[in-house]
Amino acid sequence: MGVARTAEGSERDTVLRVQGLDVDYLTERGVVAAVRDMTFSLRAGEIVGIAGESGCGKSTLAHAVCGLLHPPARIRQGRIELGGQDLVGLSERAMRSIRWERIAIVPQSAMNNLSPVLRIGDQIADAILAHRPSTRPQAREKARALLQMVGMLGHHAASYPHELSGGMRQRAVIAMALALHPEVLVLDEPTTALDVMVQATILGAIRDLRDQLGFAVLLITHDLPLLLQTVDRILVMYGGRLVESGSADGIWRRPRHPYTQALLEAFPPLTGPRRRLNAIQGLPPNLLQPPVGCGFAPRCPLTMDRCEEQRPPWTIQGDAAAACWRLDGEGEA
Amino acid sequence: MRGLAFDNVTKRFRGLNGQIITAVDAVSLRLVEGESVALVGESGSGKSTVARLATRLERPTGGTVSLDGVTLSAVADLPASVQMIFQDPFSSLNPAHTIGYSIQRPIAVKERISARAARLQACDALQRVGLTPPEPFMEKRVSQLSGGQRQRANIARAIALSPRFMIADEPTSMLDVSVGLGILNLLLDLRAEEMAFLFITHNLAAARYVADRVIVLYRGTIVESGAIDDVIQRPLHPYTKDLVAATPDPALPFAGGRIADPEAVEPGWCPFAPRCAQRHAGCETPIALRIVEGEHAVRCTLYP
Amino acid sequence: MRPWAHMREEPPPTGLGRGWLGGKGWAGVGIIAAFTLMAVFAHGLAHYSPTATFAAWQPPSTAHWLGTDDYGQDVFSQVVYGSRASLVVGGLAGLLSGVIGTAVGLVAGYVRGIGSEILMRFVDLMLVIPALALMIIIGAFLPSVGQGAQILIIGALSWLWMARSIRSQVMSERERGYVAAARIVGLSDGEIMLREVLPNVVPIVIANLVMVITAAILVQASLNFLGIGNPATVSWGSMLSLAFTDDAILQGAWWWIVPPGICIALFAYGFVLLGNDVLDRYARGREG
Repeated sequence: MGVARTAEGSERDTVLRVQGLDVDYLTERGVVAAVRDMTFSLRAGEIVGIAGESGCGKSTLAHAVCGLLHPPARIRQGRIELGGQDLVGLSERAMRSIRWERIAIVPQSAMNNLSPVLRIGDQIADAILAHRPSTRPQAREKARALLQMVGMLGHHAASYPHELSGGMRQRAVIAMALALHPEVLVLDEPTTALDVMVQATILGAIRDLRDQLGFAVLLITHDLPLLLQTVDRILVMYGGRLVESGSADGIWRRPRHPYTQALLEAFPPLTGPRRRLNAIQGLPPNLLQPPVGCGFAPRCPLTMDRCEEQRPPWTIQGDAAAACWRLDGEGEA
Repeated sequence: MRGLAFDNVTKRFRGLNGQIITAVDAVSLRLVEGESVALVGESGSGKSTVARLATRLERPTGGTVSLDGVTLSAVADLPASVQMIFQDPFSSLNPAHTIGYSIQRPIAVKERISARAARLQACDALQRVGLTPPEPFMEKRVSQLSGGQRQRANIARAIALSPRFMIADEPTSMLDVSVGLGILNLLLDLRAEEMAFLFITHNLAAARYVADRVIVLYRGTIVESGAIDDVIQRPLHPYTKDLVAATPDPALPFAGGRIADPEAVEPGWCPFAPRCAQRHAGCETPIALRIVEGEHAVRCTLYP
Repeated sequence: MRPWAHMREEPPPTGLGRGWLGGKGWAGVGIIAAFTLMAVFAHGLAHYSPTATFAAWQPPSTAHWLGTDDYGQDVFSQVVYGSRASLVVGGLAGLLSGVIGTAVGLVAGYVRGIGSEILMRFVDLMLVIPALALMIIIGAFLPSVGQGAQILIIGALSWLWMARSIRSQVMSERERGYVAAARIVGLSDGEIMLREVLPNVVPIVIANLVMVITAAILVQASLNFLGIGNPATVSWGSMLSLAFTDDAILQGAWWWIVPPGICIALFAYGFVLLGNDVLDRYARGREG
């Protein structure tokens, strides 16, 4: 199964490859199977979106990829390869030299965690000085250039976080993440607390920067319509597992997994006929007792007998793939 | 003069540095019985201040907010006929009380009935919002409910008072997608029971789902209003055009967004002028909201 | 970040059942309880009446565990009976000032506008006047300062810090959504203050109450030490006062000075421990 999945994209320009990744949370109530059998790759200059709702494991995955998991979270098995080097099991010291230099993350609500007593430009300059031999004036100059790169003005470097709007602060933390020219930028819910106008502006800026600088982006959000419009490829997660992957266009035109269909249906459209939409009934699976079969089966309108009993195989159809028994037999793999 | 009406309402606050901030600037709007109107704008547009004015949490600096022709600030008792659903379902329920108490106490106060009689009505309200069976929910505290359940309990408290007007201030923005859709569907059900809605959101697609009419607010002023599909399909104001383009819709190509540099506002000018691609000398003397066709109105010198 | 908290659309386990107090708090409760028992059962605990006289300046012995003073009164019996004055005056004055402080803090924090400002400027003004000096002056004008008068004087002048601290908590509490919700559904301001906001600031009230009681105990001891109060009532403060004026230090009669001093400190410390623990737990509860 793992071998088949790596067939996505060419081997040469793959910058990040995650293979068979399992992450557990060891809690008082037992082991939470937060991420299971996650396999995907990211090519240079590609924007990949990870979609899913609270608790589907998407944030955990982002933290795992950046080596930021701390107890009670634990990687049970799997590989996270950055440019061929496995990051799983690296010491914190070794990871620190890779994180931010080669893979940078903008964590959820990072824009609210800027230091309130330091100017934005100084916070970015401090970060540069911690990693690169440089003088403070040089680092400050670089910080100003970075802010301009994300569409802010040079004088914003002298602002304190509270003087900037949410959208400005979010762009500032993205500028900070890009300071050392990482190969991979991980954005965890970068637009969740922001209005549509700011969302669109920030994603526009990320796309432009990707075009200029060529880094790859892993964009994590629950906002599927936003992903459909802005990313190249989408991975849909449910209950800690990958349930579908495909091009943004393909997922929009033909979502294969019933969960993807239900998720698409949950967003009211801006155009087209006005009609009542159906919310997904029921609750996501309890990952303390991970389901034996398909995790979505109890909520699925198309469920069959074997869905709850056996895990559906990963079925590849062209450049799209999904884990659903309904596709079994249709596949090419 | 039935309905909830804003007549030329202005609200100013004193900012942290002592500067005067005009959150709502000469806004006139009317919400009539059974109607559903969306108030759409970005953060800082003043939409939440409108909600607080409508529920009398704030008093207008100028102009009047009235209900059926009676000025709200002139009456001593708050009319229960205007209720509100809050953005943050957690903080709007008192952690010190059970859900049951939070819902039944206002009923007992409003109708001057015993706690026991109010409790029956509270159970009924919980049932109407889908928290069934209601009895176990009555005994729970807010920390024991999920996000969707909290918002439903909030809605139960509001509808238990049989309001005629409901102000919903971004009721789904802190909820998961499918949970949020469940809440929107609940609002649709309440709408079918002739409750009027002022639905506040930054997302035009969500606005279109629950409302028939839309009012677009920019920096405290109404820049465009009309039937929701007219406004989405034929936006007139340059800001509305940007807003439509920025709303995610997989059917359309990504258009990006344009946000304001907050310092660049020129006094006296149309507030949108600094961001406007079509600005011209005439923007120095902004005009009033005027009807272009049917009920579609716009406030822009491009449509004199 | 606690991603596993969002694993399901299911609420996290509640914090209740973890207990109201930690070790510190229970230690404070233990100290306070011990002194309370001492005050209640003073009659059975003390070997003699506090005013019975024996040979003067006796060091501790089996007959007189803590020796005797210059009148020949048994120090141990005086310490035991003295706890009553501390408990009654400290406790009641503390409660009185707690009620005033909570009421002022609640009103000044909830009601905005000029009235609230004037109230707080008055509090600020009172705070810069040395309260102890004021109490001495008031005490000096009164012909006889009995326990009731002491309670009133201490109680009426000790609520200022408490009012400030409760006001700031109420001001942050009133910005929370439930207060806006309560106003919209039509609850009265009085009901919102007492039944919506007050339950949410109870830990702050308790912590402050404990501090105010501590202060009242110390102030009462100080007043008695300075000779304000009825000399016929035995208290730890009046014992220290007498010991000081009657040259206990020159006589080397440590047994007359140390026990009441330790009692004052320990009793107050019990309240400090309890107050700190309540505040710690409240702060931790707010973070999660």
